[in-house]
Amino acid sequence: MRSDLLLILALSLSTAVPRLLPAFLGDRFQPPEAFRRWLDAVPFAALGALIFPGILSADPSTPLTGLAAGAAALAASLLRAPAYGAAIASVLAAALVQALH
Amino acid sequence: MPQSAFHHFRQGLKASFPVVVGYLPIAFSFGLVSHEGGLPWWAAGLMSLIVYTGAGQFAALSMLGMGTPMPEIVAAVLFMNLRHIVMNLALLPKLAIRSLGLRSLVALGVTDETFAVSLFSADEEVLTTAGMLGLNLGAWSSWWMGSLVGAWAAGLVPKGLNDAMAVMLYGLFIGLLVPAVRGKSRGLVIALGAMAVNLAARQVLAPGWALVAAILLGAGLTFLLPEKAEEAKDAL
Repeated sequence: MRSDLLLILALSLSTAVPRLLPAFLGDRFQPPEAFRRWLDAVPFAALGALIFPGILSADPSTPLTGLAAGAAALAASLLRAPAYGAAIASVLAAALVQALH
Repeated sequence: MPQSAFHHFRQGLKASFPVVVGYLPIAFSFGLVSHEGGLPWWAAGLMSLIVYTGAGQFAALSMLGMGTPMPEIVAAVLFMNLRHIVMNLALLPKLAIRSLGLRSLVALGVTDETFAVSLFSADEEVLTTAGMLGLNLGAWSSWWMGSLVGAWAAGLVPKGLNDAMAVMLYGLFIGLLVPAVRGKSRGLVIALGAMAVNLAARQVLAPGWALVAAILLGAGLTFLLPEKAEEAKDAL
């Protein structure tokens, strides 16, 4: 419980500092263009890295669960389901694989 | 609060409506999955209250689930949130707020969604100090309230689905990534590149640091890709 609290406090600093920095920098400071370009790419890189290869070990007993879940989420989002629709599809696919496995 | 400021605040609060509708199901999912990851309900609520970052909170949950130590989690979330520097650098000068306290309060509320709404709202009254406070209050409240409700509802999930819930985060990440890269090969290449870096880095680094390396280097791929005119719009 104490470690949860510590983690949350540390995380709140890691989101507050980037948000607050510009408030202290003043209105005329602008970051270099290369930094902006790199920042624009960060969300794509973060999502990609969060998905793979972690998804393969979501179920420690078999990578099939993660593969099926990933395929279901991919299909749902290609069909333009909202993000939580893809999440629900992945859970249902995983439950199906686990029932059959 | 003077009459006009109160009016701006209300306009801001109204403008938060589409953001609230978008946040509630995601916040609800966060509460639900945080229970799965072993976080107590109050921790899920507190995280949404004072960390207040969508993808970053889910990333933290996912890393907690892998048993990642704290420094790696904090580093990954920090890099994921550096983009808010650029957003606030663009937003704050438009408001020209003198008081550092007020500037900080507005700055703390920025998210990808509130940033987009504030700059593109047809209602100019939203892009005022009071308007931003209203917009931020609506978005932020829906985020932590939705999380608390989700954490509470986690107890209602049927037993048979409990194990399958472990994949929910990945489904959500895919559900966020696919629309973001639709018709945007640049984003897709960066995401796939980050996956490859992550896979390779895991051979030599702990999974948490491999993720951090994949974010830093994967995003760096942007310098190898040709620049296109569409990017001006992508920057949001």
